[in-house]
Amino acid sequence: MRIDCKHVWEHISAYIDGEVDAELRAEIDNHLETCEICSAVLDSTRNVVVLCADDRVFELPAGFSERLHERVEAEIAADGP
Amino acid sequence: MAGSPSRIGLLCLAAWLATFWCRVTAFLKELLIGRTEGKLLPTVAACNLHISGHMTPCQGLYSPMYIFFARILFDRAKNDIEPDHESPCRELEGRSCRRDIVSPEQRFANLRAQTRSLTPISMKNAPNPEIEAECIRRILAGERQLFHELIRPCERPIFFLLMSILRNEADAEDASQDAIVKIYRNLHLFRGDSQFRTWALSIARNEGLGRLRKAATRREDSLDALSEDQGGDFTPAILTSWREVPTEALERQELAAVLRQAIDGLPEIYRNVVLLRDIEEMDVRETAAALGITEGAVKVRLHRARALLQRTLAPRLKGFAPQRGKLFGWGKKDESR
Repeated sequence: MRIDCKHVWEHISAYIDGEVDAELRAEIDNHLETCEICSAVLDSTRNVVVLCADDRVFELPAGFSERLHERVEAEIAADGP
Repeated sequence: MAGSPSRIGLLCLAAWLATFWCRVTAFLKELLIGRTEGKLLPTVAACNLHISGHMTPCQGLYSPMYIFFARILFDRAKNDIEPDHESPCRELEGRSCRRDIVSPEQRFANLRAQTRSLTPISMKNAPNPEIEAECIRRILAGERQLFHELIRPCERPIFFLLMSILRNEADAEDASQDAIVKIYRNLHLFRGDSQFRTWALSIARNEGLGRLRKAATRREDSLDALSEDQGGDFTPAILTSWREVPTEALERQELAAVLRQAIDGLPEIYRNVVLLRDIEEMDVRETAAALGITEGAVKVRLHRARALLQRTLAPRLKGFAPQRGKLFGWGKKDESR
């Protein structure tokens, strides 16, 4: 069975996460061999996922951790010895 | 002396060498370009066999010399060809679009590893449940200072989940502190049915939603208002290849800002899933438990969120692609398409 582009797009997220079964993966791989558009969609989606995981994109506010642990310390101290 | 037999012989030899050079070079280029998937493994022996097919019996006497020249020519032709081998024109010629030598999974794993290696040690890795359980036992037994270490890996996901819900940094920080204090006070209620981080995130999420209810400032795209059947265009952006991950450009705040803006623009139900799955790299089960939804809903929302992000980001982030491909070899040529 040959799948079309729309079918590939529907599974692209699961494909990236390795959550498609072997048969569907093989069909998608075959499609990607010859479809420049779907290859580009896959690559760009994958790039977005990789970038999102970079710690430099989302950084905690400066001093967040220090303020938090001061509060936690105060809470622990309030508990008594 | 024009008719000197020795001069004629030299001219013939020169002409023969020139022909030989052109033929072998052309053959090697053809051989290299004709291969796909980077399997460029012609051997000197193969070259020699091919050349032998074009040789006269007399020329065959010089096969050691052919092997020697073939080796030199092969190296030279390979160097000449490698830049062209990356050409996107291969697609137009009906050849394979995919140039991966490694599998997609391996490439993705390599990318992740590479991205991770550029960043400080991440706390995103799933904590060890046994160590957590021991830590909790000791905290409850009186070693309360250990709570600092227990909660440290959860700080990021808690803050960003609350940031996603509350949409305000100061509110998110305040809510994070309150949530973590609640976690500390209710630690004895943690039964170990799920990971500690999942349980902590559930408390943080409830804290965020509770604040929203109190303030009656829930956004129109709140969890309750948006269903899985929500309409929307999840068709990806059609664009030419953008294979490189511009991780180097993350040093420039503008790229990070573009990413944050795109994620911030997602409807909340999608944003929360992206946050836990792709930013904090939690698995589907843990994400579902933290958000109080099914694993199927996590997958559907993640797929839609990624499609929306791809649609928004791909055309913009392509401009951040490196000048010359380091990962997959698609450089400036590709950008001009």
